[in-house]
Order: sequence, then structure tokens, then C-alpha cells
Amino acid sequence: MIDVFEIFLAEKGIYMLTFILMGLGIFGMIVCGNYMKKIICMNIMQVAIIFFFLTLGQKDGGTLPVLVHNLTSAEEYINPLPHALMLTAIVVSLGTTGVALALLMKIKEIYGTIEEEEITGKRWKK
Amino acid sequence: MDKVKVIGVIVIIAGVITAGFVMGDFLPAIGDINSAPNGYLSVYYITNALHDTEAPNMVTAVLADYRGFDTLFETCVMFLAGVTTLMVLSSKRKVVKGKRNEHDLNGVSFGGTVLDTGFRIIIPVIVIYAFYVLSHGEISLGGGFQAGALLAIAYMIDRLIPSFQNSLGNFTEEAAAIIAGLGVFIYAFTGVLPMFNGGYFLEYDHLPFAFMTEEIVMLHSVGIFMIEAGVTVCVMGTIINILEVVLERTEFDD
Repeated sequence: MIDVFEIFLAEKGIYMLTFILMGLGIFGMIVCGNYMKKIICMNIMQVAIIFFFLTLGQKDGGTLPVLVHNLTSAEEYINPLPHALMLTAIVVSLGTTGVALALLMKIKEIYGTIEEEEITGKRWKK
Repeated sequence: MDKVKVIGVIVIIAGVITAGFVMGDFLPAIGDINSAPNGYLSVYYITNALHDTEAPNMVTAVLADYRGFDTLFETCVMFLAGVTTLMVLSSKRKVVKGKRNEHDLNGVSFGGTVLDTGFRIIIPVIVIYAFYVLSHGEISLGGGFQAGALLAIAYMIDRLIPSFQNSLGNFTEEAAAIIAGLGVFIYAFTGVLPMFNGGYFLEYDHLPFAFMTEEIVMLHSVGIFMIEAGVTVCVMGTIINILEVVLERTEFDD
């Protein structure tokens, strides 16, 4: 039983961690009433997605995807494709964060607060 | 606390479903050489990147050469994010508490004398490192996005140190947006250049710099460097743009 668990952790364990991170991000985006915290949780979710893609590109015994002279076969290098995709994803997440911050400052100017319950005028039942 | 409980139950159910999903056979084992994401196209990229593009860094080869068209529009997304930030916050403030400009920052100390002096020493090193990362983007680890971020960090530190006599100067947010647009223009212009020489859009083999190199494939290095420079300028401009737009409206109450 313990062996099975260890093999599971070695083979699929990081997927669990990324899903937990993703769940934390979505949970925070739903629960937090503060828009700033919502943006932070959105960033956590993006990081989880980036981790997920990067784990897909992993290979046992592979090195960085930069050519070395005496290594020629494809099995020696980890997969460069997820890295290329996630590089742009990181940059785009920067852009979305910037736009979100701009909208946040606009909300702060118009409503005077960034708490969701004060803006909508409704309070959650506690 | 009712809502929190409901959401907690939802999260637990989602976790169980996720666990089942992970334990099933949908996802490949980590490090599996023969899994689907590591086969097919990936093998082609790894084995042919140097021959096709003259770039030992395969990530750059995929990003800037095989998928150059995608990266062009990723750069456009960055530019649009900066312009959108500018447009959202371009209107005048409704409540104006006195006149605010850069000089108001002068009274604010960033981190005390030691930190200020330390950052002043670090700034030129960061700029040199940024150019190193840019020029090594295709040979070793690095690239345009990282170089742009580093340059923007150098500017950001310079901006945050208040009474810095030899300052790099302040960009207005419009100027930063124009710089970002210039980066996109450099990228797109590199794509258009081969078309004057009988090639397709972004086909580096037909760049009109053949007199500079002996082999045609070396033109890929020139093309990759040019678009990396464009990406660098665009990312730097966008980050500075966002920083300036946000800083302009920041109130330093304390």
C-alpha cells in the first residue's frame, strides 16, 4: 500500500499540488471581498497553470533545452514547447495584472473603496 | 459563515474529483520520456532547431522562429495592455488634493541611506545584465522578455529613489506607450523586411542582410536578434507605462 502511494506521489504528485494551488486561487477569487485580494488570487491561479504546463514538459534525466555539443538525441533534453508557451503566458499575466490594477484605481476613485460588499451595498449573511 | 461552509464543501468535492482525475490515466506520469507531450512535434523541435534556425536555445528557436507569428501578437497584447491602462486612467482625477507631480516624491525616502546608495550601485549592473541577457537570448538562457523586464526594473528602482541627482530621467506615460509601440513596430518591420526580398512574412532566409553572412541560415540569428530587440523595447515600455500611470495617481499620505 505504501509502495503504491509512493509511486503515485512520484508519478502524479505534482499534479495534485498544482490542482491544489489552482483551487486555492479560484477559492480566493470567489470568497475574498477585497478586489486587490481577488487580483492576487488570480495571479496565484495563473502560476498554478504555468506549473501545470511545465510539469508536462519534464523528462527523466533531461537537461536544459539548450544544445550541448555531445548530446544529440531528443531524450537528453526536456521539452522546450511548454517553456516557450509559458514564457509568453507570464508576460501576458503581467499585462492583465496591469489592466486590473488600473481598473482597481478607477473603482477606488469612483466608489471610494475596493471592498465588494460596500460597493454593491449588500452584505453576506454571517 | 454559511456561505463559507458551502464554498468549502464545493472545494472538497472539487478536490475529490481532481484526485480521481489525477489518479486516472488521463495525465502522463511526470518524467515519462514517451508521453504524448514529449513526442511528436517536440522531438522535431529538439533535433532540428540548430539546423533550421542556428539557435542553440530551443525555447528561443520555438518562440522567435517557428512560432514568430504568435509571438508578434503576444507582443501586441503587451502593448495593448499598456495602452488600455493609459486609457482607463487617462481622465483627470475628480478629487484633486493640491498639485501632484514628480517633485512630490522628493520628500519620501525609499529605504534609508544604505538601501538608496546600494540601489544606485546596482542600477548600472542591472542594465549591463539586461543587455547580456538580450544578446545571449539565442545562444544560452535569456531572451527579449527577460531583458525588457530587467531594463524596466532598473528604471523602476531609479524612479523609486527620490533624490537621485544623476537620474535616468522620467518618462511620461504617453512617451512610454510610444516606446512600447516602437517595439511592436521593430518586430513587425523585421517581419516585413523579407517581403522586399522575395520571401514571406517573417521568413528570415530572405532578410536583405545576405552580404553580412556567409551562410543563409545565419540570417536566422540576425532575424531572431532583431525581433528580440523589438520585444525588449515593447516590454520595457509597457512596464514603465503601467508604473508611471499608477504612480501618477498614488497618494503618499504617510
